[in-house]
Formats: sequence, C-alpha cells, structure tokens
Amino acid sequence: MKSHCNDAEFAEALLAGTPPAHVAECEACRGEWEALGGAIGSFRQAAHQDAERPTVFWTAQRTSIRSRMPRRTMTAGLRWALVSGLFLCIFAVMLFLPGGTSKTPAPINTATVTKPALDDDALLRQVDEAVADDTPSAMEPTALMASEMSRALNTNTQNQ
Amino acid sequence: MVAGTVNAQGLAEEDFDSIVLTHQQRIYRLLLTLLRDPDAAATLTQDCFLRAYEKRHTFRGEASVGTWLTHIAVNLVRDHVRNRRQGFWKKIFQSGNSSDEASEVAVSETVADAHATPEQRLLAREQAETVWRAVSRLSEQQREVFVLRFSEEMPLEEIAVALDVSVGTVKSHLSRAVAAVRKQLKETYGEIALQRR
Repeated sequence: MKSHCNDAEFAEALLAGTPPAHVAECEACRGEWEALGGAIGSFRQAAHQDAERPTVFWTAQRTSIRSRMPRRTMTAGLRWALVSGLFLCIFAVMLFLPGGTSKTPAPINTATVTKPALDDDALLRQVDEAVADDTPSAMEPTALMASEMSRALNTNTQNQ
Repeated sequence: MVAGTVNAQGLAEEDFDSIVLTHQQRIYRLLLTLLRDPDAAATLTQDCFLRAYEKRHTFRGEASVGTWLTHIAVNLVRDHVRNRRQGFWKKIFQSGNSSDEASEVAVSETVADAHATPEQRLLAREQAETVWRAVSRLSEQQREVFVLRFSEEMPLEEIAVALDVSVGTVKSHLSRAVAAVRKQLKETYGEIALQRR
C-alpha cells in the first residue's frame, strides 16, 4: 500500500481539481483532502463575500478614477499643430505691427557723413570774418533795406 | 482580452471606462484579500487604474488586460506594504501572537452560504480563518501566488506573467503554501479530527 499523500501531491491535486488516486483507498488522506479542499473553498468564499459592495460604491470608484485622470482631449499631433500655429501668429504680429521688433531702421544720411569736413584753418577764417563783419548775417536783409531807404532819401534831398 | 483595444500606441483612451467597469471589482477583491484593509484597497484600486491609464501606451497585448492590471495591483501592494511603517500587517508579519489575533479580527464573519445551516456557516468561517492564519505567515510572493490561484482562480501561466516569475516558481510557491495551510489545519483541528472531518 502506498504511503500517505505528501504536500506536493496535495498541491498538484488542488491545481488539477481532482483528488489524488491514493485518496480512493486511504480514509485518512480522503479526510485530509476533503478538509483541505473545504478550507480553501471557504477561503475563496470569504474573499469574495468580503469584497462585495453596493453598486453606489463601484460608481463612486469610477467617478473618482475618472476625476483623477488627466484630461487629454487632443491627440499629440493636434497639440503640436496648434502650438506651431500659435508661434507663427505671434511671429507674424511682431513682423507687421508698427514699432515691432522687425521695423527696419531709418537709413543713415551718408551725405553728411561723406561730406569732406572743412579744415580747421578755413573754419577759423570764416569765424573771424563773421565776427569782424559789422552786420551779422541774420541782419543782412534789414541792413540792406535800411541802406536802400537811406539812398532814396538822399536822392530826394538833392532833387529839391 | 476582456476589454480594451490595443493599437500601436497601446490601449485606446476611450476604452478606459469599460476597462475600469470590467475589472474594478476583481482588482478591489484582490487588493482587499492581500491587504485586509478596505480603505487601502479602495485607494489602491483607484491608483491601479490611474497607473494603467498613465502607462497605457506601453501595453502591447502580450498578456490580457486583466493580467496586466493584476501585475500593477500586486506591485502597488508591495509598495504599500513596504512603505507602511506602522499598522496591521507589520504586526502580523513580525509577531506570531498578534498575527493570530489580527487574523481572527480581520476574518470576515460573512462567510456563509445563504442556504447553509448555522453549523455549516460556523464551520466555513472557522476554515476560512484557519487558511487566513496560514496565508498571513507566508512570504509575500507565496501569499500572492496562493491568493491569485485559489481566490482569483487564475491559471498558473497568467500568475507567472503577473508576478514576473516562471511557472515553475509559481508551482513551488503553491506547494509551500498548501503545505502551510495543511499544517495549520492539523494544528487547529488535530490530525485525527481532521481525518474524520
């Protein structure tokens, strides 16, 4: 007669769901097999019953899971397209707005720069002549008019 | 595959509601069985689906969605147990006496068939308590294997994938777990009484 079933044989039988062959001829092993199967069955039943919850619990769970999920309503491609478009718009606005960074600077008056400067002696001579002149250049029209009036007056006096 | 469409980018986002609906009860039950803490199980159930959602692009359909979620749930349990400095399971794992007490407190008193007699209900509850006591003393992985096989009734191959071990390792853990339960039954009921049950 075969010796009693060992742990490995019981484990194999539990996995297979069929009792070891030895159980049929051994009352001790049959009792142990039934006790082991019954205990594990009770364990499974307890686990399932403990986890039973009302429908409202599962609904609340789903709501909570959904609320904690980051909202992603756009695909990645669409997001990139939108960001690129936004950058293009900003660039276009900066390019065409007055006072924008793309405004071209006013051309430099090169004539004044390239005009040959008077040399120092000529400049000093011009200053000396202006200072020595009786009539400042700004007063020249007035002086001319005064001399014309004076000449006309003299002419009238001689005729009389 | 129970739910969820797999494409090149992994699971489709729009399938996620149906995935949660399909698997939430099983994942909660697994977490509750492993943790024995309803609040933690509820929180980790949410965390499990959120992590799956974040990593949905990595899912390639090599395993079923259920196995993939089980893998995530087991990892969350491991993290939870490791991070917990005080509490129920720490006492259980570190102290034999408190293990017994805690198991007795934690074991559901709802183990009952609606058609069972009071005596049968009492016997079923005692048996479940005995198994819980043995399971609580197993190593982390042995306990996971035992629960996945005998509570969730997962095939060995799926357990191996979910726990990232070989089928041989799963069988080895199951054999040790069954031995522990068998020993616990003998200690609780006595060898002779056990044979008469």
